[in-house]
Amino acid sequence: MDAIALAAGLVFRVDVLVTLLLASAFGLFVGAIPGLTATMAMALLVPLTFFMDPIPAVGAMVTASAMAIFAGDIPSTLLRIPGTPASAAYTEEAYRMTLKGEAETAMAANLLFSAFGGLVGTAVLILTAPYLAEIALKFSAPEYFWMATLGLTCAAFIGSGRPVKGILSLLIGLLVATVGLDNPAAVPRFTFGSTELLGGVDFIAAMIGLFAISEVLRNATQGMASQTLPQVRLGNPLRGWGPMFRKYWPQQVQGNVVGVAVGALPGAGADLAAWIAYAVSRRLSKHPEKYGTGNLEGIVAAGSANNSALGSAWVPALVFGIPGDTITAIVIGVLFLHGLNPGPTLFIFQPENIYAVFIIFILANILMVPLGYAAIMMSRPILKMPRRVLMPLILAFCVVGAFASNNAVFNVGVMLAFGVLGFFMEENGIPLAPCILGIVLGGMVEDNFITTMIRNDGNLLAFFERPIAAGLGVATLLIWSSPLILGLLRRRRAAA
Amino acid sequence: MRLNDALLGCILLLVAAVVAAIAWGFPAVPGQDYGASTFPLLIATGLAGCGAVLIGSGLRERAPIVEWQAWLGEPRRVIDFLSVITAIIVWILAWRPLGFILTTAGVLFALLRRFGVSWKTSLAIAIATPLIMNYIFGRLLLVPLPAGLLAPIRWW
Amino acid sequence: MLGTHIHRRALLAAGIALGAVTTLAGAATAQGYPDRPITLIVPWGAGGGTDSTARIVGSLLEQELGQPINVVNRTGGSGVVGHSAIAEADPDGYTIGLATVEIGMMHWQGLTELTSADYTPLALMNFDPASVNVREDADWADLPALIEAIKANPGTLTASGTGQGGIWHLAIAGFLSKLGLEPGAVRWVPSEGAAPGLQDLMAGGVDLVPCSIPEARALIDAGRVRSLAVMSSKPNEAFPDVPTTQDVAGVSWDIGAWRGIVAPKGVPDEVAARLIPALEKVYNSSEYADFMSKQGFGRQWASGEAFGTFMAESNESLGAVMKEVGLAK
Repeated sequence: MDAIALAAGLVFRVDVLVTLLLASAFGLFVGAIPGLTATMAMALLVPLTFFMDPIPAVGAMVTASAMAIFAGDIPSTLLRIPGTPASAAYTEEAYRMTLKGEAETAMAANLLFSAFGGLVGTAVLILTAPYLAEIALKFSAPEYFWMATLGLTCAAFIGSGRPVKGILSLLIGLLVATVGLDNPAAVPRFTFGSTELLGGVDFIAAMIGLFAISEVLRNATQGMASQTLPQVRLGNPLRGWGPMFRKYWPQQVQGNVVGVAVGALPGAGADLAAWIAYAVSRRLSKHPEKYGTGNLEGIVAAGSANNSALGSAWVPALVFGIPGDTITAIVIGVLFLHGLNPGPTLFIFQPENIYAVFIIFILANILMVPLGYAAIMMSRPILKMPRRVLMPLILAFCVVGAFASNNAVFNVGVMLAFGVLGFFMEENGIPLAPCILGIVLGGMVEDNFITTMIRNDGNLLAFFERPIAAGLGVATLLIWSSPLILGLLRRRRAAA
Repeated sequence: MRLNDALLGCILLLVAAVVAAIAWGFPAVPGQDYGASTFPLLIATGLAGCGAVLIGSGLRERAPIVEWQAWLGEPRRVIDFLSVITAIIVWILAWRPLGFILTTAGVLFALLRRFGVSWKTSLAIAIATPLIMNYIFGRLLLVPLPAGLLAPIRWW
Repeated sequence: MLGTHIHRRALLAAGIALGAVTTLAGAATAQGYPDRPITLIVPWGAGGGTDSTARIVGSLLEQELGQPINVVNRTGGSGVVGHSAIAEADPDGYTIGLATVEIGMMHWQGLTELTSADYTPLALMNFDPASVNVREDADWADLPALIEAIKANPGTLTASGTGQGGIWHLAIAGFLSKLGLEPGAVRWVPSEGAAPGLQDLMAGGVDLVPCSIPEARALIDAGRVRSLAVMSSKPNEAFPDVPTTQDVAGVSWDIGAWRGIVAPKGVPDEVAARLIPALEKVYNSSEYADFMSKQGFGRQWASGEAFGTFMAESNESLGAVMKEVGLAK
């Protein structure tokens, strides 16, 4: 108990609290701007943290990243531009709500369930870190292969419309993911001699193009003169939280379970967690037909998942110094710098520091409510702006965002190409979300497939030889074949 | 521009063939059955499969080969559409030589005028936006926005 | 030159018209360099050791030069994209970069024409030798035991820690060939970096990871990983107990990852003359030493010509290994 008191003493100091507030504002801002991700917020903080004490340094990173992941939902809801990749899974859904005039409800839900998801992730981090880390360490190539394949299966649940077009979209994304040198064989593929393409297609630039530029193009075809979207004013969005919480608790639980589980696996992270949570909630929903039309269920699940994943991503990072995602990779560097070397010893010899980090996690997610609320209020005027003014401004932000994602003008070109592609795809009833999923997961599926094959001399049974891999593999195959089996059963019942 | 499924399917078959042809040429990993070409070939197979399904459904559907939406008949809309694409291309080409501020100011002004915003408002937005963005992104967030022609000027 | 001056004056007028001008900086020559922010390009992503090294060097250099240093990540293509961006930048001293050992590898693989000769070498800041890391519960007590196991069953053990043909791949392949074994006697399993490789080691996916010691440090401290030897002529300062390959296997084999600051080829001499002493001060500062030792990174210094020679030598020895292993084109 002494350690907890000591830890509280480390956190509840004016300088630390001021740092946390500033970091929150910074995180909210960076997260809300497309192209600037939570990872980039971390990288920008690194030089500052060199000169800070350890607790404010780590605290600044915790709060900034939590705020950034939530803030990504704001432009995603209002403008259909995911602020961070973690919001991409439910961008379409949230934007549909704005089109229906329910932007405030969507953002209020995002805020509530982000903060709550963050707290759940923190609780898991505090209570189970050492055990969870042991399980996470058992994941190797075959396990990751099945994880990623399961993730791809989500494509079947995220697009509305005809399945063949959803699969087509997924394949386009997978094809895009093969471009470049970063594949297990280290062979340049589809680069056509371009140095820039050796690095592959920048995912963020492609995402901005597919979602935002295609939307600007569509606005252009409909006439910019069309006025603003009428919105339902909630007044105080916090008032709706009680009923919302009661109504959507199953989605919230699904989201948190998925988020915590996926987040703790090194290399998977908040982005993937959001996709899987969205798909899982749709699969389990009583009204799957409402998904894709501006339905809160999916938003609740995915919004809970990405923030809870953030907490559990710290599990392998703190226990073994293995980064769960790029955010924790940066944090590990900062921990080392301040002598807080990650590892089991951190829990034994410096418990007050670890507890201080936990307290900051809790504080950050509580702070998210008032600050996020302020951010939502500040973003409201966007909806009042005439489209003909808004669209050019969006373009300017998209151009800077695409450039900033890898500091290359080439990425602005990538953004344009994907904008036109996205426009064409939607005109032809091909959903965009599976394509993004394909780009996100393509590398992971391929790397782990080829790696497993190299390691086992091309023996396909290797995918079932290890217990967790076998479990995941059987589960995936069952999910794939379930429509077939159910169909057969139904037919037999009908015959009988 | 909505393509008939059959036409879309044909395009996919073509894309699949090109992908497969390129992927065929990737070097193998010594001593391994699976290498750089494995996944592109799988994807090409998938694309061809989708293409075949779409050709089947498209032929049954009897929709026109290409369905031109209404906006394509309105020159104003077509120009609006093309001006967005042109704007991004100008951004790309002028990015380094002119620099972020000048390019953005010019492109924004042209676009705002094109969409029917008044002279004064357009001018005000086109001047204020790049300066604010340059300060926030360039100075505070350290995005290396090119100074271009304005490089000799010191910004505070 | 005259032309550009007139040009710039005319634009100054345009700048005033924009209403945001304050003063004109010094002339466009190197005198008074630097009079505006400098961009430092890093060919690797945020969160890695290279990125954090660049960021500490950047923030210390900023204090030396009195101008902001913007650290900019240009990732992808195993470093080719970022290294190209450094070489192709205007040689005006306002874009510099952090080059890594990969510059001496990628052209042998036929990925680019670029070599270390395409830069103005400024300063070598860091060097980390490769080491051989195995699981704590591995069957081999020491390096000789591991070598025996490899000899007994060539091609059964696997190693990981970087992509196909990456620096740690070359480290182990070159080491095996020094021992007179086939470079492929340990199968290479590509991974995205040392962290995923170590994760795979823990998960039982591979048998050894030949990465640098700082990368394996957290797991060594946690008692999950043992480092059997460093591939260097002298032991690591932070881990003096880990022997060298010379000591335990009788093979002298120096290989590792280095990081240094370079500028595009053809920067004015004044620029180099300003940057090199500034970098030397950074290198000798207690902040830098402290940062590097806390991360477990090794420091090594060379500047100007000497750094150029270092890169050229690194280039040759890596090329020799890559040809031997069959990775060179």
